[in-house]
Amino acid sequence: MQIISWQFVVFVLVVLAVYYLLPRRGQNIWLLTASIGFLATWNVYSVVVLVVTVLVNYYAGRKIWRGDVKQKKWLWLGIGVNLAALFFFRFESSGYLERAIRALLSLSDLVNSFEMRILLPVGFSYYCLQAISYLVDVAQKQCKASTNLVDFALYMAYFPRMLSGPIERARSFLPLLSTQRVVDNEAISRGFTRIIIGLVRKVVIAGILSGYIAKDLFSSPASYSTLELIFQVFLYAVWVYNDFAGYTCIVRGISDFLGIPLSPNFNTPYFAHSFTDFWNRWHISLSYWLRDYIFFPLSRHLLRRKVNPRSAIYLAVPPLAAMLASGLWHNFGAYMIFWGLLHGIFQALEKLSARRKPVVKWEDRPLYKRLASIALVFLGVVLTWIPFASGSLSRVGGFMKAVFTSTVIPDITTLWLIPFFAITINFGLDLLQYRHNDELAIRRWPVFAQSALLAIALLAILVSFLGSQTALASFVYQGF
Amino acid sequence: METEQTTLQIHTPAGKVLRQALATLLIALLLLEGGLRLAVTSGWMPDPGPGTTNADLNIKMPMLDALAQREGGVDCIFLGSSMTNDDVDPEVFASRYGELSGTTVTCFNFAVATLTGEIAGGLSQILAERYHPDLLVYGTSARDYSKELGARALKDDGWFRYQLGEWNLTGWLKEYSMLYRTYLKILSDFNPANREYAISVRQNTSPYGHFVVHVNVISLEGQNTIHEETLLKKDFAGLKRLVSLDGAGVSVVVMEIPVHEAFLPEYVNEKSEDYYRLFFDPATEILTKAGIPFIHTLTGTRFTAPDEEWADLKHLNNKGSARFSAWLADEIWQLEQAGVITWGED
Repeated sequence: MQIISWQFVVFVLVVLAVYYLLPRRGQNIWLLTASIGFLATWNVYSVVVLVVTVLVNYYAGRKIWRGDVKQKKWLWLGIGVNLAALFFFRFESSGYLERAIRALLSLSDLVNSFEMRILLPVGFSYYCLQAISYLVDVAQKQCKASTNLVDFALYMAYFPRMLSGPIERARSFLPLLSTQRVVDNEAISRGFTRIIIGLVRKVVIAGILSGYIAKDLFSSPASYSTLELIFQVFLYAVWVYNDFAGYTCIVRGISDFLGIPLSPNFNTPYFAHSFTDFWNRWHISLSYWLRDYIFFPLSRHLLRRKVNPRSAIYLAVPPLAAMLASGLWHNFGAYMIFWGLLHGIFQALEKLSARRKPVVKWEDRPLYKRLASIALVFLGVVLTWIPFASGSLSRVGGFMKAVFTSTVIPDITTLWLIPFFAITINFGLDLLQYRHNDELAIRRWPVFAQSALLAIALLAILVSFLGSQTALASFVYQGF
Repeated sequence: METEQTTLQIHTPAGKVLRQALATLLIALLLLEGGLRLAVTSGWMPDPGPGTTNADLNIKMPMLDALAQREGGVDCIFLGSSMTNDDVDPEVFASRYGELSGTTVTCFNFAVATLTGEIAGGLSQILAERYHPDLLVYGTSARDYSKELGARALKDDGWFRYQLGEWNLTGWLKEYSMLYRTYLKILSDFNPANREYAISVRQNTSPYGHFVVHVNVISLEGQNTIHEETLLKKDFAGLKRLVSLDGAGVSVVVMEIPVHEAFLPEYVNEKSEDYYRLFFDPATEILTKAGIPFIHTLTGTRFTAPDEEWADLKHLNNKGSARFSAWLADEIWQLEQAGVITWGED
């Protein structure tokens, strides 16, 4: 069941109606049942994987919490099982395992005739990271091991965040499940605003842009002019952001209706003034996970090994490792590893260059310098979308070659105005959120202005649904 | 004992912003809808068409509406793929038929590029119900029964399904909302995939629906040929659906659309026999059973045109279409004289 579907709307309405009637304990059981039901609409196999993962991690968490002499063994065993499963599914879904098996059994036509592809279980790469963070936090006594299997299973399976996060932390999420939830006017208003913003991002902005991003951009870049190639990558950058941020807004809004606030995942990322800042604004829940469980432990490890905090090793290795892990988490393809490494290199270079400069607060810098920083980071990020979107390293090469050698004359028509319009809405919305440092800044406006804007948004969403020639239902990050 | 609070704690009045937004939206939509209807009926703005996934249909439907309004109805409609679209000039046909019969008829070519038998079945029903023509001429060829062609997408179009009795919101809106149809037209005009084709159709289609072609390229290169063991049953089922309209106030005639003589041996599996075995014979069987006249163009009283009258090996250009349309009027007149069909009488 896709999130953008009538079936999902009915599903959520039924979940809410029953949820509001139940006492707290019953609510958790109901939400878990609904979450498993939601997952089962994708495939039962994903439910089986989820159940096994929940049981393994619940048991490991209890063992770790007891703090006996085998605590560390249980921690590493738990992390190992989660990582091995993630590695296996990633390796398999990237096609490597199938190729290896086919190569080994190439003589057997019978085997070749079978479909060997095992699907990545729905949501696994997200809840697997939640499981690891839970085990580490329990071992570090940052949260108690859950003694309630229903609550723990709900932490892992909670349907609003199942498909693409946000990746929640047990220490903040589990307490929400053991307290009475209140959904008042404020929560409904907040949730509704989030859903509308999410739909505008996903259905209107990303929906428009998806129609203008050439399907063969990376397979035959030579058929486009340099200007078109560059413009298309910009379109991709805005599209991928709105697609993912739109999804996040929608599921956070739904969760607000349940009285369970979810973590933010985006904070105007294209207004970042450095690459480090970008990762504090883009896919925040993953980025913070990488920071807490790879970047910081590695930095601490280097410090313990007496590495100079101003040395190149100390400044470069943690961001490179964290970003490499980010690339691998997305996909095992060389192009995605390259994407991660590019981000790691940018961050490392930033840290290395900063050590010789005096620290000047962002607010104290002249406006032109601030704008230049934002533009530079934006251009760098757009550049990194090329390997991300390409699907292979050879295509990256082909694309870059075409950018510099294309002799095609650009076909500039009024058609370009439509994606420009979508980009303008995106940056307008972002600017509003950035200036107020509030994703729901629209709610500060006078009622009549909010009503007018909401009317326009509803109309835009309605016509986008009705007029769409492209599939709006799926989200790009569902694939990860 | 402490009682648990309820989760939902909504205090009224609630939802002021939403209520105002919905009211604003409703008023704005009604004003826009009214304004656009006024603009179209007053002729200040062209009818945007039904906003289907098919550019030909979107352009031709308002043209047919305008013609029917101007002439008080249409007497005959031609239906088919691009081959019929290019080959039949309704003006020439009506003129020749008028010479033969002494009556004045109004005809329109509603052929749609890549139309298949399956879609023709549904479309013919829609046209018959909306315009009540006396005569429906379906020009068909082997291509209409082979592989997946573009116009098959119409099958999933809301408007198309709505017209055939399957209620759906988009179909209803496309039928009744001028605002929605205008929006779809703007969207289509700005869609890079449709834009050039739509411009070409608008520029080259006569007010009677004939797509006028001036080129003349006689070459096998680039011609789509069919390489299939069997042709599609669903398209023959569409043909059956189309001919079933005969008698319910409309006479149905099916014609074999001509191809250049050099193309026939290449057309289906590079064997002339396969053209007959896979297409012609099954079509003849269906039409014979239904008692529908089948005008042959490649055998019997065959239609021939010199090389310079072909746009390519499957389509006639403007010269060829003039010759073919007059020839077709002769054939229809003969059928009428033989008492096989009845139409065109007031």
